[in-house]
Amino acid sequence: MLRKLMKHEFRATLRVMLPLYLLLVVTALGARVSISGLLGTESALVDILASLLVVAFAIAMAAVCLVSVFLMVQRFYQNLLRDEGYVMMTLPVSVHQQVWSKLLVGVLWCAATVALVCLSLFILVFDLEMLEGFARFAGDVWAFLKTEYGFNGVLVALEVAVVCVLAMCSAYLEFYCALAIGHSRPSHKLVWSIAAYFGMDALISLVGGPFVRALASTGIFDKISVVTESATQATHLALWISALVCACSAAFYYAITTWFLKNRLNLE
Amino acid sequence: MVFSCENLCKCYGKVQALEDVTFSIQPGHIVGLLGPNGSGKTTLIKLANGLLTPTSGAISICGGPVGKESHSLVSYLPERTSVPLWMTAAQLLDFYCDFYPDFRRDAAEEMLRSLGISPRQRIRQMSKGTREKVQLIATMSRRAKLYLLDEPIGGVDPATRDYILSTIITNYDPDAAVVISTHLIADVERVLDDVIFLNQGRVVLQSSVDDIREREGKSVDQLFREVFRC
Amino acid sequence: MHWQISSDAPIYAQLIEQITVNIVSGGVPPGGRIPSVRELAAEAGVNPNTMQRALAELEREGLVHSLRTAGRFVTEDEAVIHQAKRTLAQKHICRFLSAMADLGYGQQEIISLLGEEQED
Repeated sequence: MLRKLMKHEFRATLRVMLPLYLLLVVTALGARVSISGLLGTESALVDILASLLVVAFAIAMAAVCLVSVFLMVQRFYQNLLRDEGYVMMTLPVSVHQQVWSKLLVGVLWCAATVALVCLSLFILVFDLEMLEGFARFAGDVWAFLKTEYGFNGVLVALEVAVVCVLAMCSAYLEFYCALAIGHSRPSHKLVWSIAAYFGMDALISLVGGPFVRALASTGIFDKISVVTESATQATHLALWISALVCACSAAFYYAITTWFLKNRLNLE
Repeated sequence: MVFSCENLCKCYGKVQALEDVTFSIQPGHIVGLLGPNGSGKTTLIKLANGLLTPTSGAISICGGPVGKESHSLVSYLPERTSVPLWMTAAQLLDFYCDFYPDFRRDAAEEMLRSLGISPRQRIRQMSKGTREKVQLIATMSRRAKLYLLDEPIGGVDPATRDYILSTIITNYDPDAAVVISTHLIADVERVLDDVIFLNQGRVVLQSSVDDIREREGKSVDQLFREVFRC
Repeated sequence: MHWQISSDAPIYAQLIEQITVNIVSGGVPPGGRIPSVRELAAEAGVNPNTMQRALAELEREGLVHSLRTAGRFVTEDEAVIHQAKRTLAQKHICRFLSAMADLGYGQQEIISLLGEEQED
């Protein structure tokens, strides 16, 4: 059932995301043309046109990033807690499957957006020589790190990716959680949702402070310090701790979200 | 027992929407849930669908609690348009096919045809009445054990009303039960076995339609007007 | 056939009467097949359970009988049909007489009025 939920979630979001991605690629091409040929010519008109193309690309870039985050929160709200919730929340699926489908699709779209943004930047500055130079430079740095510190680049990249995904999940779930709490109220649901969001933020920092202090007292932070241990180990440890913190907060928000959806649902 | 409630209460803050509601519905029966606006009809149906949580009391659907399992037994028509508007009618049928193994796609397509609704039209572009029809078609094309229909004939013209009522009586399984909530009693009276009158969140009468006619010598509609005279 | 459900009497009783009228007036011939409960219910726009109840009552009266697989049929016994026709006629006469009594007519006056109506 999770697969089917995700399929329909993709269908619903594809309608918005696909045109946006197309727009981004097209404006990137426009900006590229503008930078490589049109800017700095004699004609003022061409100059204005060229700068407009660049501005359009910047706007498209910002729009894609904003929409891909906003849409996923909006889908949770619109699809589960508003009118469409009458259909979605009476499907023979569990609340867990509902939340997972929204979360996974949201994360996948974010990953796609990151990839698309990279692609469009690549289009913008595509230059074979420069690319070769960059590749050589990166290879040198890589090799240096490896020989000097025994740095495992692939592993670190993986760890960074895990931390990013977990942080994204946690951020989404915080929104879901606030909405789920706010919509369990009989009225003023959105106001309550916003209050819940800030309330939880306050709670997290209230609990987070002592948590970090408790961690510090175990002496774990000393290990991260480059002075005491090798830089490589310190990096790994720092990434693992970040991952753990993100996973904990994500799990906390997930538990609250599903509990409220299951036990305190109050559709208008 | 397909559907039963025991001492069911629901409060919205301080407002008591349902108070100590107890009844049960047998398989094969079509039951009218009748009451003036704000009497708790929609609240009751939403509780049975898990869209609200009861303040106290219990609901049982085919012997089990409200949840994932009961959702596969219940076919629900909400009182408002709640299907995603961006879908076409055909996409909506895909959606129902995917989630409900008991969905009869051929029956749904046949009904769309007979009402002259194009499967390729987007629901957003349909009139309010057509949206209601599409949603009802999707609801009645399931082979469910319990149909909960909230105001199925509220917003449509009398000719469509007849079509909808005949759709309901020809499509339900004899083992299934149908609950129709409405305040348009004269229109639905002929298709009902039993009626439940709700007033201010309480059950004030529960009887079979023919019993009312025999005992009172008047139609349910007339009785309703007397019971709820303002 | 044409169905007319009024608001006062029980629905199943009205269904019995209307099916009976249809049979005694030859709408369905003796031995003729009656449509299924579902078809009749959809046609009349009534609950199938109510239609079922009406047909069961007609079966009890002997006006129709069901063969397990083939469906329901009107009786071939003309006497039963005739009897049903008679019963219906008596019912109508009773109603008529009581309405006329309400208007203040005596039995003789009613008969002479009927005679006048005939001449026109």
